[in-house]
Amino acid sequence: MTDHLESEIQKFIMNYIHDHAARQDIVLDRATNFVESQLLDSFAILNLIMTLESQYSVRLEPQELADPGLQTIHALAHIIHEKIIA
Amino acid sequence: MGTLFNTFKDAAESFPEKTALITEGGRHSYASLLTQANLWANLLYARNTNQQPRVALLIEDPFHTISTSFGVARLDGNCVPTNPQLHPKQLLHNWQATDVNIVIYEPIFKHKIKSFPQNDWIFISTDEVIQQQIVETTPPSNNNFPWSKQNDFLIAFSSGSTGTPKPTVLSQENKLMRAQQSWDLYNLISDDVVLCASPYFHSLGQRLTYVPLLLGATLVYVTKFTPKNWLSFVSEHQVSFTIGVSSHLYALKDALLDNAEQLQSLKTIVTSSAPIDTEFKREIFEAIGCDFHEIYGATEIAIASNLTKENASDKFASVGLPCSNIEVRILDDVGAELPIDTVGEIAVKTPLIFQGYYNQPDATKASFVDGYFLTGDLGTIDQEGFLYYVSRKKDVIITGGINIYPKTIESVISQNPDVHEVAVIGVNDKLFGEVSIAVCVTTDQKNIASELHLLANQNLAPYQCPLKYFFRESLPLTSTGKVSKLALREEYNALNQDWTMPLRLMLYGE
Repeated sequence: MTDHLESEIQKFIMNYIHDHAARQDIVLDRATNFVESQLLDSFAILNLIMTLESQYSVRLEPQELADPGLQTIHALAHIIHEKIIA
Repeated sequence: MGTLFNTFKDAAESFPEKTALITEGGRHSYASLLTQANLWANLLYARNTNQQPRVALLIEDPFHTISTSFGVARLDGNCVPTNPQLHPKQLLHNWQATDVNIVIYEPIFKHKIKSFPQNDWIFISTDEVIQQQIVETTPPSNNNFPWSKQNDFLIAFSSGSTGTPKPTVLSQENKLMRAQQSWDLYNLISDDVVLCASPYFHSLGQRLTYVPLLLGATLVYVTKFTPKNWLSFVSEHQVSFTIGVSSHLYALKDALLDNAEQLQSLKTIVTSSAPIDTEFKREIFEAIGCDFHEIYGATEIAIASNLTKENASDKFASVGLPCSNIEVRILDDVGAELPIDTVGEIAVKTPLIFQGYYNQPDATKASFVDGYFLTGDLGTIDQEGFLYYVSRKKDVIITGGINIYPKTIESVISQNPDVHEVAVIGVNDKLFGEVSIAVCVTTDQKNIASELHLLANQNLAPYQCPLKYFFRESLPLTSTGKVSKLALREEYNALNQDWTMPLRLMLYGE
């Protein structure tokens, strides 16, 4: 059940990136860093965080957001999942 | 006619081997940029000989954007620079409103136009001009086309004075005279290296494109702004001049202070697009050794006032004195001039004035009083003639230098049946100048933020999506019964908990 939820969150993030990346020819996987890769502009990154916080009723803490390790699709989905089940 | 193209051609023929353009992808000489512009002109003429080419540019790559724009200028055609982040239906609306007949696109954006009627417009991929090195059909060399008198080289979507997006028409002469204004204001010469970090669909991107390339100077184009990119481009290419939007300067603040050694080539930095707070301005003025200007302007009028470093210490809260040949007045609601230090609408009379709003003669006429353009901004003028920007009169939010229109966003959010009323407002933000939030009336103040985020994501570009949603029983009204956005702004500014902090943390780790 929990694995399923985490995959759902990953899928949500991937769909968002696909919908809002200016380019279509992108290949995403769990390890894609959506900040460094510059797939999304700054507005789209901020909107992603706001959407996720609202969608899953969680709040990402400043130290979490500042951690470059949490800028991959997998890591972001994982921390949101952790917060949901906590 | 073809004024802009001819001026560029003269520069290119004077400096054929000189680097005209530097991008992340490489360098392009004046000769190669001119060749490419001519290739575009030939291709467009061959495909569309009987009517004025009215060309939507769905292009991000600066070499293609700039060469295309000069190719269009060669034909006395019209360009509609377009933000690739817009949704397909927004693209369709803008292009139909400007009578576009040709769409030039980069293949990476093909998905944006795949659902469009293929018979109505001519679609040309940038790959086509790369593959097609010679086009036999050439336009007449005397630049005499049946449509040459239209004089509508470029259409930018601007706010106008009433708060709704309007297609703002600029002629080739407008663009040339505006470039000349910048050359004179900042003493630019052909040895200068100019950095542009704004996209071409933004009026600042257009200004920073033509200022160097009509002069024989070098343009350094940064398509993906990061402080690291900006610093390395300035240092590596010895950039001497740039104009930056306030969000870029905010992001660069520490880097500017910490990397003074690397920035010795910079002669002038100009701030534009949104007012930056006075304390920040003071810090920058004190820290940077180069000349530092702040300007006030709008797409319709170009630069109206300029604050020099000499005046910065005494007048740092102002946006400077009116530029040469430009008159600024402060008017009341009936168009009468107000006395000094009195807040009213900033009105500007300038030889650089735009041509009008495309197909909107009434809106154009309504934007002027006695030859003065009504900016829709509120301000004051002091005893010594310095202009002070106060706020906007019109209902528009400027976020990161991009205009967004609350009405557009409100109409999307209203699609949710649980939303009885909505007001989208801008609240102050130190990164973007302003960010938008939506204040909604729902039954029992039901929180449906997650639904509204998804609705906005599906229908709006990311820069248009409200950052936050708030729910309440009713909206405050003015004495005349209209929603008081002023009261809402005051209320929600007080609640602002630095809402763009997540982005700064992710991008800059601070």
